[in-house]
Amino acid sequence: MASLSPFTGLLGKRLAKHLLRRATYNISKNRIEEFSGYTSIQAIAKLSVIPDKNLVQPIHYLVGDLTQVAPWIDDDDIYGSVNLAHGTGNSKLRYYVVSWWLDEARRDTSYRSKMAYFLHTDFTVASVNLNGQFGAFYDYLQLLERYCLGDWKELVFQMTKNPQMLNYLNNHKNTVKNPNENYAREFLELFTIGKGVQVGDGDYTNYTENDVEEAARVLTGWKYYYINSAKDPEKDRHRVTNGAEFGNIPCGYPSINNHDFGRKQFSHRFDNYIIEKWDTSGKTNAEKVARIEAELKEFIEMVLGKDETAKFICRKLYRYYVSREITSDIENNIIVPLAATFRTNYNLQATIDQLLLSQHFYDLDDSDSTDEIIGGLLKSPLDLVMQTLTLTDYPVPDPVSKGKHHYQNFYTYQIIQNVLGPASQNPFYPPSVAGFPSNYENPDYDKFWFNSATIISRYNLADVLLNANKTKVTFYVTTFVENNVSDPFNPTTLVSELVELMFPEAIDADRLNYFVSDILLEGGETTPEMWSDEWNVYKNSGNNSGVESVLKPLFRALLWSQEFQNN
Amino acid sequence: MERRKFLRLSALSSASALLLNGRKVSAFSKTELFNQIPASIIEGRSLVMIQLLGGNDGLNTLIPLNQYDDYASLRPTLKLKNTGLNAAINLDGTLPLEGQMLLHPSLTGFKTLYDAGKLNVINSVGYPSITRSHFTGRALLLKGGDGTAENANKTSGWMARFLNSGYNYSDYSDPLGIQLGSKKPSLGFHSEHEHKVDVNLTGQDVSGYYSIISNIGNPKPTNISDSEFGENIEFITQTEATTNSYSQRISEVFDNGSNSAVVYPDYDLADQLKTVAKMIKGGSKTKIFLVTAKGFDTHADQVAPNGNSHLGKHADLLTELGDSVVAFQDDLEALGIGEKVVSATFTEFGRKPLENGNYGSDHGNLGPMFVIGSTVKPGVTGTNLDLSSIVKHFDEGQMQHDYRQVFTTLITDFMGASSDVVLGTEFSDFEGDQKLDLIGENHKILSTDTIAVKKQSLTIYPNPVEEVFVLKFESKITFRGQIIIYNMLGAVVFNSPQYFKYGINLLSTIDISSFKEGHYILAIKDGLNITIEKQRLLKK
Repeated sequence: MASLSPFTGLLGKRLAKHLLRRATYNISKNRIEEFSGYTSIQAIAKLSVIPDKNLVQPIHYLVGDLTQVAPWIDDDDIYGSVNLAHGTGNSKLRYYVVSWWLDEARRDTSYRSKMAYFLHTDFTVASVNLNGQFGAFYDYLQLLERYCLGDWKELVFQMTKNPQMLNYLNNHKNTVKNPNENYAREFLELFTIGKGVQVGDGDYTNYTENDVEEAARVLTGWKYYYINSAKDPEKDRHRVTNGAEFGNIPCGYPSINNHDFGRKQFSHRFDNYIIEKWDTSGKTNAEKVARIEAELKEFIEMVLGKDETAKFICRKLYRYYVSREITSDIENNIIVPLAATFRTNYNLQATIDQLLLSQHFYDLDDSDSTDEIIGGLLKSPLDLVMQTLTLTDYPVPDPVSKGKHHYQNFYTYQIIQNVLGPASQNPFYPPSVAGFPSNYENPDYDKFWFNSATIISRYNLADVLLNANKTKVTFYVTTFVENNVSDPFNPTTLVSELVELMFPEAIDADRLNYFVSDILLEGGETTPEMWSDEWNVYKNSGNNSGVESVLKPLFRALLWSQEFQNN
Repeated sequence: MERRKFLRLSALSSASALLLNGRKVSAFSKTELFNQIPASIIEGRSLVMIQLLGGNDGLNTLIPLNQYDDYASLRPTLKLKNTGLNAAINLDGTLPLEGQMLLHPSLTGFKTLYDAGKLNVINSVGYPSITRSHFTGRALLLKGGDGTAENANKTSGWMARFLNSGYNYSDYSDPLGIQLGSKKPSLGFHSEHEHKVDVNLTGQDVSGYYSIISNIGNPKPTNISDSEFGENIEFITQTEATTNSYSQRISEVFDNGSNSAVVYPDYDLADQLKTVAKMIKGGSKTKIFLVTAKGFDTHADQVAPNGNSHLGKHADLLTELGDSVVAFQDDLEALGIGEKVVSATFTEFGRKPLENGNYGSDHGNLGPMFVIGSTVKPGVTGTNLDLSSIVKHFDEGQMQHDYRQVFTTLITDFMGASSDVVLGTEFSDFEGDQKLDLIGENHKILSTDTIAVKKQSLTIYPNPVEEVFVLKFESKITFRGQIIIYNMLGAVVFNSPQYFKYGINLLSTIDISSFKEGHYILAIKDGLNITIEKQRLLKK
């Protein structure tokens, strides 16, 4: 029987790797060794220590007559005022905000970034919207990061009035005169309670078509400012923020003339709940604004008051962190109790902690601890790229001193456009509001990541990282080997230690022999003695060209091994 | 061993005008209006683009006979003789004198083609604001641009835009574009779409292509544990195997194909064309083959000294070109597939009329193009150049044809591209009366604009749009997708996820008031980013 009871023992290397792969984007030999000495409780405590960001926002690289770097989004204590002359409103900025986020996620030693990305797969938006004004997309990312380990109920409220979301699902066009159901429908169907089985005309078990219409009426009357910085003060996104208590993040605002203050009657799926008509006569504008916000909160309370909402989100969490298949055993013994935790006060951290501490997460809740969970998900392209960067301690160009190479060449051209995009995970631009098919496509889920259209881009990663013309940095497999292998003179030690570092599970002698003999030693072209001589040449002369040429094919083969595709 | 990267083309957006798509031609209500040319024939056609790298010297390729004296004074050492042994060849003595021209004596092959009615010579081809940079010039020709500010910065290749607009390549087992002769991936096939349309076979053993690229990935581990991890490894290994079907197909058409008894000369270009012929014979449905001949940058030793101007580098290059193309054409006809293929030459620029003193010529601007094939309408397009006022360069005012007129004519009249496809190729300016008369009447596809296209399930009104428009879409299914508007550079400028119900979906007042004036493409996509419907949209 699946069990949410905590596993209290020491992790050891295999489970430390498992935890780091699943809960973070940052995995390395040092971290594996550190975490292998922790109990799961110590490990989770460690992952909940949130490090300061390297940069709180993307920083403009030097271009044209710009003589010093400047912030790209907001005025900044360290880097001064936003540079309006260069790049603001530039369509590249979308990529640069994403690049910034990716680089921070790569550095993130906590489990925040992975959880923030989970919320993106729940509250999807497309970074491309509000084209050229990526302050709003940056604000969306700020919301995800602020709430990803906190109060999900508050996030639901904040997200509803987020300009990126208002624009993405046209809720800013949802008015008393012209109701637009787009956001209301997805709010119920995808973001909160989820669509159940259709049991009658317009009745989806958890809500009805009538509820979508009534929800749309509740959600009428939201507008936003979105222009970045002082360029156009009338439309500046800083004109309205959500207040100091909530991070002063720019947000949308209630538009009193566009809101429907009438009575809203929900179906029996919400116990015939009624939001009463509110008489606006004699009311001040401030009172009307307060009423619009209060109605929204009342509606959120109603939807989040249903157990199914907590269960729906917990199923998403389960598929994201644990496994694609939810059997009745999993539903009853993992999802239901986990949802009870979540439902208490909708705290996300308490919920994922319980999940990541559980015996079930480590496959320790039955007699066989090697047949489930560990290595049982396909790596998303994001996992694949980020883990490869951190495992290899890849020399990513510095975001400030090598800004152009960092934002443009490395992240935008190579990581996003050459790898993640073609591998079907343009990071914040999902193909639909339901997110990436891996989030919802039953029964394949994460298997979607590996298909005939994505395979080459995934396998191309090794060559991208080895191509200094493209990445603008030199990366040597030799250095990776030297930093991670105890005795590089010995081909068997070399391969087995890399395999232990990179693969979820140990490999057998045949497989080891394949990587050692067929790949590293080129099917016998090279003898172990020749290899150790070559490594000796490198150690004595510092010239790595010989060893590098032998190691590159091994690096490729490891990266495109079946084992490494798994998470 | 080179682990060659292989690109499997997966489902991509289909165009609204699927004129060429074998399975979907039935969407058109009156296919018989295709000039009685059955869809299956159109479907079997291919273009072979012959790129002459370096800038072919047009003036020594084709000399205006009535201007011979001016020619001779511009080119005291380069000039080809007009009479006697090794003289340039009169292309067509039956033309009026002011239209007669002399072919380089090495181009006996082209003379043969012309006499057999399989060659059209297009005079004085260029584009506005011609660049004299090799790389910029090549890029412009491959991207379908020109030197004006408006068209200088296209980011995708015109061939890719044509293929993406005209074909739904998930329906094809062949790659839509194949490049030979240059290891550098051609800009012409550069696509902003997520998936590439071309395969580069340069330097590959085509027959063994499948076995080479099937080496990507690793063999399956021998002992796979009975676990979820093990199941994933099985799944990955299986996916890798089926993915290689595309490469298998390339080797398959090559191995199924054959060449005739025609003997190809021993040139690199001839080898490339021989491969193309064999693949088409083998059943390839590839739409564009791009082949390349190198070395046309003849700054020095273009001709041999001492009155031997009929010899030298340029003579060798044109021999390679002419003899290779003739062998290719003969082979195609002997194989019974001559009517399936039209070939066209292009080059980044012509060379300066005034020679440079090193038995060579420098970068210039205008030059001729050649279109070859048994379905080609033979003859000369345009008139002889006027050399009398030339000092160094051709006056660009003498440009008679834009290279895009030639390409537009080929993709419409021979390949059958509709207006929407031409729009998607960004060649709309070269449609209609801008097209040239290059395809024989019995083979030409009539304008598809007059054909009643299938009833659109997507309508936009008003169109042109001033500020807002209404979108009406009749869906056959309920699905969650998105509305995307692309500008003509292929960049997404509007993106809105929508829930489409079965039946009529009416979306009111989509606001594009902030858009710049011009053409856009609106697409309705499904949850996997596959285009369901497309419409063009004009912003006023």
